[in-house]
Amino acid sequence: MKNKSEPLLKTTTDLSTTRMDVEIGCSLHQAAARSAVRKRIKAALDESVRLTKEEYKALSHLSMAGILTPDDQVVGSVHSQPATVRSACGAIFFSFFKISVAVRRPADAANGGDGGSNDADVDGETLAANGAGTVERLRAAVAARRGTVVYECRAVEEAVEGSEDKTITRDRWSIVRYFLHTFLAQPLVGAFAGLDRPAIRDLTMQLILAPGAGDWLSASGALESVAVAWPFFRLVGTDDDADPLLLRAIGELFLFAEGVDTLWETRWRSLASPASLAFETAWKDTPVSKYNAWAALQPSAAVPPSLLSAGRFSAQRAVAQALETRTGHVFPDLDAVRPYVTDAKTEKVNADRATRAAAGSIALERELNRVLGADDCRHASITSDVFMPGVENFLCPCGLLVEFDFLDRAESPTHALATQVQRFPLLPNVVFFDTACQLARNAQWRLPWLLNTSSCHCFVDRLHNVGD
Amino acid sequence: MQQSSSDVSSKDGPTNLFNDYVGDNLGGGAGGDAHAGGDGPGGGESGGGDAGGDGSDGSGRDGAAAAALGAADAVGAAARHAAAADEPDDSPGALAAVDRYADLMAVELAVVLSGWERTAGALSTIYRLAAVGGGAAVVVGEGKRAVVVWKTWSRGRLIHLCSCGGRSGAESLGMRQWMSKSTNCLHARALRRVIASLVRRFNKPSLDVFLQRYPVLDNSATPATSKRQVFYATKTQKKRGFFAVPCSGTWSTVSVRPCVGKKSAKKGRVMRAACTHLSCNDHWLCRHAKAVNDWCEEARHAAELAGGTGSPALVQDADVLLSESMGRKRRPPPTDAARVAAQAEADARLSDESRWRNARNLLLCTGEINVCERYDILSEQAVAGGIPRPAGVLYGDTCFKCGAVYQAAAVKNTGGIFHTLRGRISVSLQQWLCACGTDDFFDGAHHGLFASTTQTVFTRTLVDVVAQIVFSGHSTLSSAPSVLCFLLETTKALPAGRNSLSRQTITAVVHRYSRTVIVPASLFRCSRCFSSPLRPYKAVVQDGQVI
Repeated sequence: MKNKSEPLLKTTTDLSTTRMDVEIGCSLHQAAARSAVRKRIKAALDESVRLTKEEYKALSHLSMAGILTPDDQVVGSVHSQPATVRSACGAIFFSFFKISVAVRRPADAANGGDGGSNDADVDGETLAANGAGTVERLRAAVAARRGTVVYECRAVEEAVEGSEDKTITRDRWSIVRYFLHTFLAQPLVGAFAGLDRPAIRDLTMQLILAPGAGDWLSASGALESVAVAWPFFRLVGTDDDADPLLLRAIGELFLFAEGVDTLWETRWRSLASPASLAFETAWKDTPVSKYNAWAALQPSAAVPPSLLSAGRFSAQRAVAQALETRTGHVFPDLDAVRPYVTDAKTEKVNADRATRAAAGSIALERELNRVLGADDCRHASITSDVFMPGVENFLCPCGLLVEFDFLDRAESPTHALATQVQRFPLLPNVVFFDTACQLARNAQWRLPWLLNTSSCHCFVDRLHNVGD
Repeated sequence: MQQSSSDVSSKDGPTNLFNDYVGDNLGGGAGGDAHAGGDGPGGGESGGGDAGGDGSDGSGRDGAAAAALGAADAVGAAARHAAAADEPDDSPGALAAVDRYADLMAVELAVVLSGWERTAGALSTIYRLAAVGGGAAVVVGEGKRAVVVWKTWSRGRLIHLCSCGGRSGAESLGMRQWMSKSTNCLHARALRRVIASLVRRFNKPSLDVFLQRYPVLDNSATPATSKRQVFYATKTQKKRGFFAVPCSGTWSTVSVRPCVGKKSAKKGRVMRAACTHLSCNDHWLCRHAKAVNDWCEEARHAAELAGGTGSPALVQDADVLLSESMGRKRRPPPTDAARVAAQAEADARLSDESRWRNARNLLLCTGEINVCERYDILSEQAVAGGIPRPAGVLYGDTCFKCGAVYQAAAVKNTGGIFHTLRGRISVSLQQWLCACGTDDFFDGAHHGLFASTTQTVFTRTLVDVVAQIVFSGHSTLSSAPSVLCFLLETTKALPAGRNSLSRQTITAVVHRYSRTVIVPASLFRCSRCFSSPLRPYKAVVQDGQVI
């Protein structure tokens, strides 16, 4: 079927990606600090995590920043400042974890790790080593005497209210870990996408300006759909003895996360290619007539000769169906408002990969292992002559098929985004997609203005959300 | 001595027209008729001498016979001189022959153009005329031989051409057409007279109006096509078929004759097509004869495919002898399984991407359901386990592209199988070439049918059942036909054979059928979730699906 199917002819325009530096959207600007946070989060709670010297240094600076009292914000002029955000991150992280540095010698481990009472043993061992008389042993003895500096990060056990049921305690710590992993260790671009931004800003201002007043509780519903945020909020903020500084730190962090999308959009405009900026200028307003006028000038947009003889009531629909068959876009109810965007850079990379993969079956397998992973799905359509790449269905929440696309290659976030950009003047508020993060990232790289204007949020459905 | 067509006929005894009156043309040099002055442009030529030939059956017979009696003995140098000078034969016998031909042609063309049923009375004992291609040409059978005569435009002049070779017997049709000059024979003169009479008969003010009303008569309006077309015309007294084959604007007659070859002599004669075109070197192997041989083979295969063991279903004369395959006896007949496999393989190909089809509504209407039910009932009327065969040929009423009404010119017939939910029916299908150049296959949209190929027709209910299994049953286009094929083979709606081949056939049918269905755009709108044109849907669930 694949070899006998008709090739899809689409009217496209190039819209390449603009690379985003990770630091742009992160609350922690230092990669070492983010690495340390991730390392701490992934480890078991009762274990001490060994840090590198750089990670320890970064966390030390972060702890110092957290100790400092941030400048007061002025009512009516609440802004997110990098130093304030850094201070907030430090305050939040070190409310639950602590770092330490120690010197360990081999004898420490043999004696149970009590480093304060084994100096004599070390000296004796050193003397014994000297007795051997070899240079190597002497060097080893010197190193053992000096010991090894160990940087560790441990959880503050009393930071989270304990329970007799260990499962409850573990769940509470899981909430903390998810929150820190999301807001401290990952880019926050799109974290609040699709939400009620004014409500979030109102919440953050109340947290920053009057954390002890308790008025923010009524405004915390703005984060009701953020399953990472509100459990943490409930954990640390609902008690009567909630730390006002911690609440303010959370407010500062939310304020930063709320404005990071705008920050990236501004930065994107300075980094984007002229073609990307021209696309934004041309297609911000999307009347159908504008697209039709543009498409009429494209050589590949000519209406195909329809070989379906229809009556006058069906003639227009017959022509439309012929066009759908040719392009693969079956959107009977939604007219195209923008061109179908492609990514020439990515396609070139994929073409190079395909060239390498075509060298042989072993090379193909190696390439697939490299790109997809050895245990990932192969999408048999890559090599099969029987299977087509398939179709991509678009359904409303009721389950009604509102549109579908024929695929001429494997399903990808690029294709999913291009289809929506072509047909939706404003993107849906929520897009459920199996690789939602990739879809959102691709959209941020290429069309942050449309994503922000549409207040679009990509979400992975429960069936595809495996592993979290 | 060069002889005209009627002269040639006279030597063959029974092939001579008015055998009692015409022995040879003696008065041929008695001057010209209205044609002598040259063919006038447009319809000006057609007014000449149509006395007694006004289209009424036999109205001029007596007068023509009397004239023929007076000219029975005329022969000699004057006739030879007249023939060499390309002058028409105006001897009484020739005039009588023209009258007789005109009478027969007028009746034949009137029947064909009016859409009436041709009756058996149209077949006389010896002289048998048949209008082919909806009246584009008239085949005149004269005993064992046949000629075809037609009219066409050449450089603004209306001329009448005949395949008999003219009065001299060696007139070149190509040269005549280039010279814009009609063939100098009795048949062409008769046709010219007939056309003039038909103008009055059909109450048309002029010849131009008449030809506009019946454009099929004008062969120059027929689009050139590379496809070889074969029209069955009539048969001899010995039931041997006469065919007309148009090729590059020229018609030829091909008759079926016994062919005795070295290897076949021991096993008897083999009936083969023989061309009568003057410029064909080998009348057994020329393209015209080959086209007829292929046509006969196709007709025979269609009859076998339709389950009939008798005559081909495409030929209206049930007892006509058609061409036989030279190698037929050496080659074993294909088994049922092989034939089914070959048909399924042909059907499975996606070969109709360039073929016109009619659009269909997504859902069946009541009328279509009733029609399909009648087909189902008809399919059950099998006699002794055979397949019923209704009379008539299925063809499209209008052109897909330009909407022109059906024209019987340039048609091609095939036999086919009509699958219903309850069984099979043998049918004859016809495709015709429109003046706009479109091949109009039978589609069946207006009959509650779906013609998948030129040999396979399905009722809409059958195809819709498969589609509904796919859609409503959440099945696939592979599994749904597989289940249905098993069911249909039990009702003989599908031939017994390998189930996988039938499945492929049904899969291909549904694939083609689905392309013709008009799916309303409103079906793709959720009235509950659709919010506004600016943001049609606030939430969308999207996912890929590998086929």
